[in-house]
Amino acid sequence: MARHEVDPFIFVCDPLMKPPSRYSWRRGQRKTRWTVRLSEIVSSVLITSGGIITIVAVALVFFFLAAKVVPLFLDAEVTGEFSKPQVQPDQPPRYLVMDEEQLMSWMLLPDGTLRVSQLTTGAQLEAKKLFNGETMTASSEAIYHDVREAGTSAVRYLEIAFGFDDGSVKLGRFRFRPTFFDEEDVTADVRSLPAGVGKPFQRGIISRTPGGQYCLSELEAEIKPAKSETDSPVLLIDQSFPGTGSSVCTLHANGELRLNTVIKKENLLTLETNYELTGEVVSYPSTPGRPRPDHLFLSAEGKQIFLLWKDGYLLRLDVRDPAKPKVAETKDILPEADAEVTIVRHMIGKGTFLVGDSLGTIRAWFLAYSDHANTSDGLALFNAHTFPGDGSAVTALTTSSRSRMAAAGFADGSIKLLYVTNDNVMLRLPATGSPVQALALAPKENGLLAYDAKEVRYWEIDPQHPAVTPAALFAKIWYEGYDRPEHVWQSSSGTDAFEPKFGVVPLVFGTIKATFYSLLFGVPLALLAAIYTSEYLRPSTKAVIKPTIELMASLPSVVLGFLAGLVIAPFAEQVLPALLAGFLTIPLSFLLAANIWQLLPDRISLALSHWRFLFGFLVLPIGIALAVVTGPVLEELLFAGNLRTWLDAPADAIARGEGGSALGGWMLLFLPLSAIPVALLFGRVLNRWIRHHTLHWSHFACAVADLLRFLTACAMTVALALAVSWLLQTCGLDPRTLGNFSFVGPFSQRNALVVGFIMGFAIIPIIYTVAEDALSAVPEHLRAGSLAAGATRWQTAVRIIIPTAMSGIFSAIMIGTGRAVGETMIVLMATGNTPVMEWNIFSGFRTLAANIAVEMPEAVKDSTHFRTLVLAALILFLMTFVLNTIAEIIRLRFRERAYQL
Amino acid sequence: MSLATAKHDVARKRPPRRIKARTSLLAHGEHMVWLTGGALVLAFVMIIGLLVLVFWQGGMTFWPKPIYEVQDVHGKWFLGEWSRSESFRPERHAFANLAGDAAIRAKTLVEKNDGIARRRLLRTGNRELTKRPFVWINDFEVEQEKKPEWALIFERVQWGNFYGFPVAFLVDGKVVAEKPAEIWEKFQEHHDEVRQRLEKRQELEKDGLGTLRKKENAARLAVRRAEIRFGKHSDAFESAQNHYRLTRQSCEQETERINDEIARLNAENARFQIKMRTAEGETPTISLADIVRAYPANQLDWSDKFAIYLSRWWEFLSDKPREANQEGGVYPAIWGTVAMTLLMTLIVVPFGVLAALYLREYAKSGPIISAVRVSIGNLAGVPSIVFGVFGLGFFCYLVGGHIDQTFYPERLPQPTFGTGGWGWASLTLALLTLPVVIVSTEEALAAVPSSMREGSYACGASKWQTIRRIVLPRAMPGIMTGMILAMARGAGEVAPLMLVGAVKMAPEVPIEGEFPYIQHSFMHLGFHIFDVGFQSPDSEASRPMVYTTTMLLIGIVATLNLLAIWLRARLRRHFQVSQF
Repeated sequence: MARHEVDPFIFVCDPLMKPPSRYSWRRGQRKTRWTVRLSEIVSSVLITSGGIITIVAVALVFFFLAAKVVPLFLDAEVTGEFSKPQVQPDQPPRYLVMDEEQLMSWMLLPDGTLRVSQLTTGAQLEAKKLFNGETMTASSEAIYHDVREAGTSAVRYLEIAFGFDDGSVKLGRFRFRPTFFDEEDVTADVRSLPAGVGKPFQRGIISRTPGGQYCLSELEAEIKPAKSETDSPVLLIDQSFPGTGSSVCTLHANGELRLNTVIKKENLLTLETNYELTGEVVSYPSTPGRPRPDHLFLSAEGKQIFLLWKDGYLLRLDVRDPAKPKVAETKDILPEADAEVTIVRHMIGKGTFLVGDSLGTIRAWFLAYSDHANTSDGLALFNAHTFPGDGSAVTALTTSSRSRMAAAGFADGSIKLLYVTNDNVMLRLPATGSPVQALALAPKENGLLAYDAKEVRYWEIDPQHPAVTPAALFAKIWYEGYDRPEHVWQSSSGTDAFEPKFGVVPLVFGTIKATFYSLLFGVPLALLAAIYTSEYLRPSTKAVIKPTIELMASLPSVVLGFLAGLVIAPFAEQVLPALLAGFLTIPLSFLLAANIWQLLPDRISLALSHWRFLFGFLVLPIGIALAVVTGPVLEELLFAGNLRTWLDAPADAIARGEGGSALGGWMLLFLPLSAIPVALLFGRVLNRWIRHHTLHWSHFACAVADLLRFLTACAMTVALALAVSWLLQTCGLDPRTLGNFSFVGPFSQRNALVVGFIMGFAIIPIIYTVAEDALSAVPEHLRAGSLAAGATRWQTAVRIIIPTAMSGIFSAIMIGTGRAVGETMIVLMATGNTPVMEWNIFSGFRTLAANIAVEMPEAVKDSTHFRTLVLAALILFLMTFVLNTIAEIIRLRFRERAYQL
Repeated sequence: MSLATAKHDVARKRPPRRIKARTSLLAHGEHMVWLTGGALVLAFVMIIGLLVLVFWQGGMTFWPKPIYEVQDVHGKWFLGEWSRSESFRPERHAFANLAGDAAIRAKTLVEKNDGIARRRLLRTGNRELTKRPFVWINDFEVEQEKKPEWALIFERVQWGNFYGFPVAFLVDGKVVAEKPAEIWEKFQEHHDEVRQRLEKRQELEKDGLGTLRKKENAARLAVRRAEIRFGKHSDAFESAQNHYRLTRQSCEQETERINDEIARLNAENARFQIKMRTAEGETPTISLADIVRAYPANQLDWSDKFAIYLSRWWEFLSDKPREANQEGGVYPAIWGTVAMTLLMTLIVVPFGVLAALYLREYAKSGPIISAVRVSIGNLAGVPSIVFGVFGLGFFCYLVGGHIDQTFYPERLPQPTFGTGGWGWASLTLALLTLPVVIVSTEEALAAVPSSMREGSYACGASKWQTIRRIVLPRAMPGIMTGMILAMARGAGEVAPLMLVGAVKMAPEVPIEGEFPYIQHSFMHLGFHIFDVGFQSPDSEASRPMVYTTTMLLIGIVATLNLLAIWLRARLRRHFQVSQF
């Protein structure tokens, strides 16, 4: 075949040659066959479309991630609304609650009437008096409480405690109870209902579920009378559910403040269940000028009682021991003199309470442990969030049953939807002029119901993702239970009342920390190795070494992670002092080897220079052996005999001077750092002088002088490091007590040192390969010219090759950085994955990539958490894409320059 | 002016030229050269050391070790295999609970060794009895150590290894042999048939019961489908329901029959038992059916050991995992890795080549195409986990969700395609490796000399003919290189698979499941390493397993890479010849 193609070519080239005898002189077919034409068109269409589709698919990655992230930053919006006139304007509802499907609502009027109605039409489904003949004088805040009976899933009730004028208490428990029917069991008009529309049926509303069943939802109201130990009218009441029990706190007209436990008693004869309140009278100091508190609430664990007066004066009682109450804290929670507290509501979990005042300001308060709290229980009240008002009083306030969302109604009829964690005002509904009397948030947070004197208004809401705002992601946020704003990532927890914390800064920090430490280890090693490979290694050796290191680039990272986590981390923990010493002794032993090499006579060193690389394999074990020997010695000298105890020494022990001296820690940092000024001093100043004066010396004398020079440099480095460390130590600075910025601190087995080391394996091959390619690509004539002009190989390398290949080397570092940023499995397996923000090389961290790997499988599709993780992926994508693009541009420029030279 | 001064003058003007004998020592930069060389040595040694560690540990895992019986100074006996040792510096209180002279002896022993003691990890197994399958024993606490002749190792279906001495062989509860040698003979006589019956039982369970269950499930789903499509009052629904009823009846009968058969096999197997004595003196009775492999470890010669070594390797490569993946084999994981890589290759190569052909041959070169090219190259550096997130969000949730709603509404809310699976994982990895294929194919296409293309055109060939007959054959090795590199990257990638379908335990390999197979989740060697190494309850027992799995994975990836390197070298040679 090939020969046939060649023959006519020869014929054209060589006119003297006679045409081959089998040449027929027949003219070829001029017309292209239709099959060829067709295949031409088909192939071009196929390739073009296939190519474009592939490229678009690749671009889709970016656009899909972006599309998933965008809803995070959208504002909440109203998607539908209606209003209808108010039926009984004289009685503002005390409680107003909507069901999950937003088909019905119930309310409790101050006279004890319970009224259930259909939401859309307002049709009344049920109305009854809850209490017959008794006068309700106080009622607690409604709180959600999950009751788990054996063998069933938890049922969520809304619990309210009522107090009466005879001192008795009734415990109310409310929920919408669903009853399911099959298609056969319902009437035809129900069967024709569209999904999501309800129809009144008996006492409740029947609707079709997405699963094809029919669900009748009815209000289940259970009122349990509980005997009290006093008959003085109840003025204020609150209840909590610490553990499995229930506590009720009451304030009576006679001034008694009682903290009661609810006791359930079953009568074996009548099978009746009775409830009793037993407890202590809690004494509290009377405050002159303030007759009686206006609000009373009990903390979730029943350990604190808060008494709040209208003017903002708050008294917190520590009742961990109810018999001996202590005044833990008194505080004026309203700074404005003319403001009055109008309403107080708790957020889910009863940790945070919102205080609305007559000026329209809403403040969120919670208790947190604080070092500066001067209280009996170490807790202090913090005003973490403030939503400033516009002058009209807060008249209604309700909180969500699943998140930190709250709705506030004002005297001018306006309504705000708030997300408390990040001070986010999600939505403002315009003023109507009539004060809002009651508000209800739908359990799924997608609806809002408001009552005022004139009308009932309803909004269908799309809340989007209020927990995530740019500030919540990247700024410090004051979360519940913290004594100051902080960067925190904690996306899930066991309890419902949990406040998700979506601060990605710790994750970004972890990524940077991982990258920094792995580059610190990997980059010098890879670049130096690349220089040696391109400049000194013989081609035959290079043919073995380079592919081996390249092969390493494809080693699955899960393998490296496994080795890091299960082999290297425990091993490093055992030999920590030797390992740290190794960072000094291994380079030192190579430098010493160089000096000894110089001492050899010219003839021998020249003859041996082919095997110089192999001598390295002898020097390395010597360096390691040196490290093993000197490690414990250094530990004894610098770290009070035990590095681990020195690192883990608690801060107060260090302050007392018991944790060992700070000298060792500073030496760890300054020994490598002070090598730099010493090297500069020698390079810039002293070497020139030495070169000048040793010009006429014999080779051996020069070598001896050089050895002395090297030893002097070492001594100077140590002396400088010691001096600086001593100076810092005398200033009272200890690297262990510098907090998050310190490079040393408490030790954990899976730490940044291990990650840096093993990630080196992942990035060294890449940096090495790209940098070596760049060095080798420097045109050979440059190298030849330099050598011919009398430069040594080293001078050629430093003055000619490296500057020329600089951009290539830089792009190698960039590509290595990109790999380190996105590395998942190593970090996942070799660190503790705790999202802390400290530079401590002996502690773990959590990177963006590892975080995605850990949390993505559990994240609910399209939830805030899911989208935040996608955002993390997008951040990673952009970081690496930008890094690689820069690297690519630099590399292209380098290539152009190399061609020009 | 005297001559002397004149001479002096000349000398001053023109100093005697000295020829410098040498370049200054400093110019050679010997220190830096050694430092660079040292870096290379270190990098090389690190890499080789890592490979040696993995291959040594992985290779030694299955080699049968002798059993030791150890008595400590408290008089307690332990029986097991030494697993590894480490040196440590005992604290003072380490000697506190030793008796008088034992403490003194231990102290002198340790002090003689500069205060460093050695401790060894003994794998004592018998997890159901002792709850502690591994024991650290300090060397200074060892009273005596011996290799008992008749210590046996049982590798069991459950509870891990068993170490003990044979006491009696029981058939139907009656003792038939009491001497160790006789018991061992009896064991060997009966063990094979017991294992065969066990295999038959497993076959019945899987093929018999499993198939029946599938059949019944399919009939049930057909009823649901008819309900969704035609409503509850349609004929189709009625007939589907009748069919389901019949199927269920027949399945129940069949199930009963198979269960009887299984019960018979079990009863037959339960006849054979072996009574053992542990080091602590307990005498458990172990059914022969529970024992996978048994050998008297201290009586083996080289050939026996080698046979056991090979049989363990065979089990590892061909069997399913047992005991929360800590024992048994990794066959499903190998299958999953290979199948996923192949499916990925089938997807990525055509599209990658198409895209490269478009970029190189069809697209008009300009700034946009250069930007696209740079972007594609950069995608190779985008972290794999990002592709995992994309795969989960786009393939599983979006595309898979729609497929489920359209084709499998009867199974909802149980997802079929709407969750991670073999197909989605392959697609995700295909996207991940696409840049590798595109870049290397493009390079190969660019390396085809334009003279060849021009020659072809000059001969009257069309563009497609030129590509098909001239360009593609020349670029073939380059495309192959890209393909193999993509396979190597795909086989070693784990992070995205954690999101799109790799699971710790898949009951069957996907191809044994239902049509179209690609929706099933699968096991993967890399994920297996992660899971067994980091999420298993007993990390000590699983460590050898992780090493062997690691070795296998490195083996696969390295082979693929070496193939690529070799091909690239061949390709380069090829071009150097063909260009001139």
